[in-house]
Amino acid sequence: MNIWKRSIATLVRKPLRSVLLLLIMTMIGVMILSTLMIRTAANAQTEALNQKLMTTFTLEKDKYNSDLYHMEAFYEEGVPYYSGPLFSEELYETVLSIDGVKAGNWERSTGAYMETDQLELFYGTDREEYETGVLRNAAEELPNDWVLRVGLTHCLFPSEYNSRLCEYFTSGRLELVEGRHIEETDECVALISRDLAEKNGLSLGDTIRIGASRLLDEGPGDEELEEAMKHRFDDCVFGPYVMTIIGIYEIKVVPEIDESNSSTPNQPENMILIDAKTGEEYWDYRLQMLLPYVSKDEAVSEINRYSQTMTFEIDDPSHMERIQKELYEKMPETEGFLWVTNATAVEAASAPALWMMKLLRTVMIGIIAAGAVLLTLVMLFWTKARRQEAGTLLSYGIRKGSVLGQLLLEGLILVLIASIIAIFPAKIVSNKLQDSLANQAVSETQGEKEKLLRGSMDSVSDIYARRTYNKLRDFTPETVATTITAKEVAAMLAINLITVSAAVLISGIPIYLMKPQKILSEEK
Amino acid sequence: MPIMTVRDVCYEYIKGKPVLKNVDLDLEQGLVYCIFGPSGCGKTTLLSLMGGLDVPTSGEILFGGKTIKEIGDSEYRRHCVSFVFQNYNLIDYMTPEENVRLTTKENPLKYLTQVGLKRTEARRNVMKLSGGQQQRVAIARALASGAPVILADEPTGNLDEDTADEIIELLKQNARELNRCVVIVSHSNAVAEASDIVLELSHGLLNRVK
Repeated sequence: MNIWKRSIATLVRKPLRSVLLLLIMTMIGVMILSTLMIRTAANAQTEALNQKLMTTFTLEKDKYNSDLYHMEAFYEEGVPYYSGPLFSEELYETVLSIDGVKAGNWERSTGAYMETDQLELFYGTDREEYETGVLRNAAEELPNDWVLRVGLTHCLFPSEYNSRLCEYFTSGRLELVEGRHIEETDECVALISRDLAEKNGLSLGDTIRIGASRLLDEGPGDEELEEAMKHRFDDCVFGPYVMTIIGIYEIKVVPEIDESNSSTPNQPENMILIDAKTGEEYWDYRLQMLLPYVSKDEAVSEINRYSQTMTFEIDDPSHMERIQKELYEKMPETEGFLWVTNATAVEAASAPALWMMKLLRTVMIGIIAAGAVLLTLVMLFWTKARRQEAGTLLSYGIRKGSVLGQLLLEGLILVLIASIIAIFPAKIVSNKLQDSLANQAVSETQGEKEKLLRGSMDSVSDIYARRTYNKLRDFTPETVATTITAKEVAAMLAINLITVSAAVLISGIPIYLMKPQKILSEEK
Repeated sequence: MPIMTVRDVCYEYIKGKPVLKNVDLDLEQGLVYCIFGPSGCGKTTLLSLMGGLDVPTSGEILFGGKTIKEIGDSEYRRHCVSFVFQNYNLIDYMTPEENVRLTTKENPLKYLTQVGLKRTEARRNVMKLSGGQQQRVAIARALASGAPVILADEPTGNLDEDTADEIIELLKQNARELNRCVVIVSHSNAVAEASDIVLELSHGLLNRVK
């Protein structure tokens, strides 16, 4: 009888022993596969978090650095303007050219000077604030009712190179639910909120008009207010531009209402993200508008007073320091910007998954070690019980290799079957395990997250700390979805095969070393 | 020329306490040898050494003029000698047919029927057979190997008188007709009487008594 026939005969005709071994191997297989599945899921979760939160850094004007803000004479009210480093195309391209920087977004606010001519907006709760605020500067000669009425057509139009990297989306406050993001090559496109789209019966592909009318610049003239409102886009100082709606977003984190966002233009539902080209044209218009009154430098500084940020996605958080160093070497003036990273948020949000992975690594080593020991003991017991058989086979000239090979083959056949069986319970076990592990991971890492958060608050700014906290709150993974892939099954099979082979070889040592007579006499 | 030569073989389980002392023996084909002696005198040890299951402390065993080492342990056990164990040493999960097939590629039924086993018995699990039937299977397995030397350790020890006679006759027949050399370790007078050459092992020394 050859080795295959002997192996199969043993397995089939010693069912109790085979089933016992099969059960042990299946249990080990289930544990290994479950652990691998949870580990892969946790890994994927971390990757997904990295993708979702993205490892980014944002260059912002340092509003806390009083040296960069000056009171300028041409604003009688004494509005400070920013005199720090300016955002420029050169800066954007320079950062993008650094190795490890994957993509970028230059976001520029257009202030609240732009308006729409046909949309019904969500009105703010504090129109007086608005009246005495932003528009007051531009329209100080106008009657209050005009300012208030016109204000109800204004909203924020941040312009984006790549809206995917816009902090509204990377922080999770907004989520694109239809269409696509704005890209650098886009012209005359817009993203609007689902609320605004529903309120105005708009959908993807529809168009809206935006621009800046003369109403705030030139006043009411002879026309009645409502009549003037109807026709204000017939002769704009800027635009009008026909913008195609390419994406609709949902507001996921509603900001708390405070004095900074209680006016109509600040209502999050009203915000319309537009492409960079249109935004740039508006900025040029503002610049040209200022030039008759101030020097070019002053005009540029004034334009830069508006909120601007540049956000860059990088391939690996560990490259952050190098990228920063390179940028500072290439453009030293950029050290004047606030460098805000979201690595802390990624790290903090990933903490439970990382904790789980660390734990699972230990668990897996434990399972493999315990499984190997258990299997070796069982195999030792089993091999000892079969020494008479081994001695007999050896006494009839069957080689030791063939005798040990038979034991190995039996083990491997069982491992193959056990590995296939293990797939089914592993799915259930991994789901059960991951639930409890994930809960434990979240509570175990709470302290760590708090520490990270406190660290970020200490090291950066309150605004950033709040932003980090929002990310943390929104993305903390509490469950991990597990799936079985061929890779995990193959890994489980490989671990099982190695474990069983080692167990068979260890238990087969006496057979290999002893003379047949010794083996047989021990069995008598 | 002897088929097997035991030359000056000594064996010690414990150093300084030899079980076998300078044993010399020439085995011829076509003859039945009987080795007898008191329990623990080293009969089975001598048989194991002759069968290549153990290695002498000193001396050598030659088969066809070559040492076991020269032939190779496995080759020697597979082709030169064949064992009938006192406790049968059958593989418990196999049928008699499969046990016999371990030593031959021929049809095992030929050998099993030769030792008096029925066809149905040949396909049962070996552990379901009686002691006598198991011994017949063990003998059939040894005969089937085709080895020129058969080494039988108390082959009739567990058998009734009639069956024992049949087995002895079968082994003798094999020696005569197939020109084999049969070495039987036994306490039985009947075996000694039926053998061509009788050797007594006592105090480690082997003496021919017949």
